Amino acid sequence: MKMRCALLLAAGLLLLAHDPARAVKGCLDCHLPKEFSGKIVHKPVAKGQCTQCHSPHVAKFKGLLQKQGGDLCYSCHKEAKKSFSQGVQHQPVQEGQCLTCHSAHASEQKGLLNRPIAESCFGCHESLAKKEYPRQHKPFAEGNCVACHQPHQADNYQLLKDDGDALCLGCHRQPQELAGHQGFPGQAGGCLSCHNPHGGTAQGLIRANLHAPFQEGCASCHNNKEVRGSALCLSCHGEVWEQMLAPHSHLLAGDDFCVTCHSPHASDTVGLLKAPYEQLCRSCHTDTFDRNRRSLHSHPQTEKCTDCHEPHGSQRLVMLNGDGNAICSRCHETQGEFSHPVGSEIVDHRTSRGMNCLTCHDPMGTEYRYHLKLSGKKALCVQCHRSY
Amino acid sequence: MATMVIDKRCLWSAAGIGAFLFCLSLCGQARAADQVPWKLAFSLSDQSAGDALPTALYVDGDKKRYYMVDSKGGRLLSFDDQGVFLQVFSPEEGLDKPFDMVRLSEAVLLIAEKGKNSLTRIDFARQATSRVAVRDGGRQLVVDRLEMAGDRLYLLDRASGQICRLSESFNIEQRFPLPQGSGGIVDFKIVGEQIWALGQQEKWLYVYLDNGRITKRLDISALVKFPVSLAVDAGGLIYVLDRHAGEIVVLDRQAKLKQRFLGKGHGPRQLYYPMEIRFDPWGRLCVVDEGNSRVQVFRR
Repeated sequence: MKMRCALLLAAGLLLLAHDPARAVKGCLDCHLPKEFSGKIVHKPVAKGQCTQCHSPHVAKFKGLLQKQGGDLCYSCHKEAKKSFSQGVQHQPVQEGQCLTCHSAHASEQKGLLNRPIAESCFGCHESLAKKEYPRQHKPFAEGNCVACHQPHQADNYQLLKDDGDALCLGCHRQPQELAGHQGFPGQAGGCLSCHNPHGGTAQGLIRANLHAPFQEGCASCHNNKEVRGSALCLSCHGEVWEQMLAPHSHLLAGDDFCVTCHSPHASDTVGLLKAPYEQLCRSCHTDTFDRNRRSLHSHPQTEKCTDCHEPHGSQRLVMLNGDGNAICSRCHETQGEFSHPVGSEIVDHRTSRGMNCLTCHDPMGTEYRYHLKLSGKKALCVQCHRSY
Repeated sequence: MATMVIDKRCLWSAAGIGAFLFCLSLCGQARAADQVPWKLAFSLSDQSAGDALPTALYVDGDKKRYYMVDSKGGRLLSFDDQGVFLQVFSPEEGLDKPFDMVRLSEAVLLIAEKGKNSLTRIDFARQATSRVAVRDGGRQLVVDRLEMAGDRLYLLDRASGQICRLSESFNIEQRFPLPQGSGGIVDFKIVGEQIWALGQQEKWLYVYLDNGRITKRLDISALVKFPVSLAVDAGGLIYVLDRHAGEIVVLDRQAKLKQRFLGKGHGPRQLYYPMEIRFDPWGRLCVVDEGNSRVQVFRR
């Protein structure tokens, strides 16, 4: 009998502790209800289940949250966690920063977005927001980014909803829209190779820089039946082939390796690149960009990776375009003249190599100030100056 | 009754001791997993290596010699089997960005010479150097990694990303087709009758038979950042060299992680943009460490 009473009492206490009305009543004594109201209200908030995310007394995380970032959201949104981990991931999703775009409690926007979708996208993609194209693609002008892009993850480059051509031709399927492609061999395709999907100056949103043979017409390349693919590119750009015959090169497998990085027709960048440097290089060198972003101290990103690296091939370590000192002192002129002794005469005893800036610094990112490889207070110096 | 109490106590004590011993054994196993069996034996380097950028190591088991290929200096550096530097060699006309090498016969070396895109044959007996451009129909192959198995010569063609087996006259006698979705092979090793190959971009391992058929594919993309080389030990464990992490990742035959060791840096047991790994005939693990201008040799 005593046992039954004790069990009933325990059950009652448990129910009381999980009573949402009681929980929300306690919370809302201090936190104003209007802070949690909006057109769309997060389900636990609507049910008054504050303790689903918050600990009322103590917690390890800011806002008395039970877990941090995505870990908390995914404790309910389990399917999302699984699907978001596939393919190309949006950076905030990768880092579990759901609140970059979403509100935790309530919002006026669908999907609990913390502001209209375009504002949310352009909040991070600032350079795109600043572009004032005289001609704009309709979805871009309307701020309808999700017309073409997936916000969380996608199976395609640039978080595109579908393959570039399929996406474009999904809307642009009227014969008159393809009229400009009458000389195009086969079915129209490779749309993004010539068109900027956001905007541009030229009619048809053709990209700014045109490949000279493309300006002359299609025939100069496409009528050549004997030489195709990269061999065709190299028949003019022979010097690139010489650069690629190096211990380190971007010579990729296949007959069309040039078009992995370059557009044969038009581009918005110098060198007819398919995308700005950061996007293009990141598509393969993800780990390097991630390290650069996650490190406590790293060199500020330069406009172009090719400020320091050779794009085609190099005999130097990590495909640098000069020796360690020469590259750095192009910008760091003072250090180029006045620094710790460097040069081939000053030998790093650990490697028998001459010292240069990269002996002590790793510009791609480290955990130490001035992106030193070890702490500059002592650890780095005593590698060589042992008596200190 | 007293006997029963004693028996129960005995049972509880025995169970307690058993549990304690079990925990101890688990700790022991965990510690064993943490321990790295590879000790640094010696480094192949020399003052004369200076600013060398080694890209490959060839080990001659018969002559008990290591040959380090220095792509920057355009030369070969030889060491004995204890790591003692012997000499620097380069033919009179020099080598233009040598990348890899094998010994074809007693007196003939074959170098993959990137700068000339040739297989360069150095005949010591005749004191002659000759260069061969390997062709596949109308296309010239881009020479990269070289391996020998018995008298069979294998070449990695960087342009197609494929491995080829070459005849004595350097004609292609067998191709090893790229698996679908592969961005090209970056390194390969011959293990018995099999060829183990590493796909760098997709981060997969492939096992070929000598007839060009793939018998096994292993996904290692979650375990490595920038794999550049692989080796397989006598026990069948797979070693993958991660260039960016400066690490060696050890996997079992199902690509399950067994161990990671070494790390990025310039000290002993550290690697800075390493280039190749291979086992020597004496079971030692050799790591060609390009950024530190040396080859580190590890023994168990």
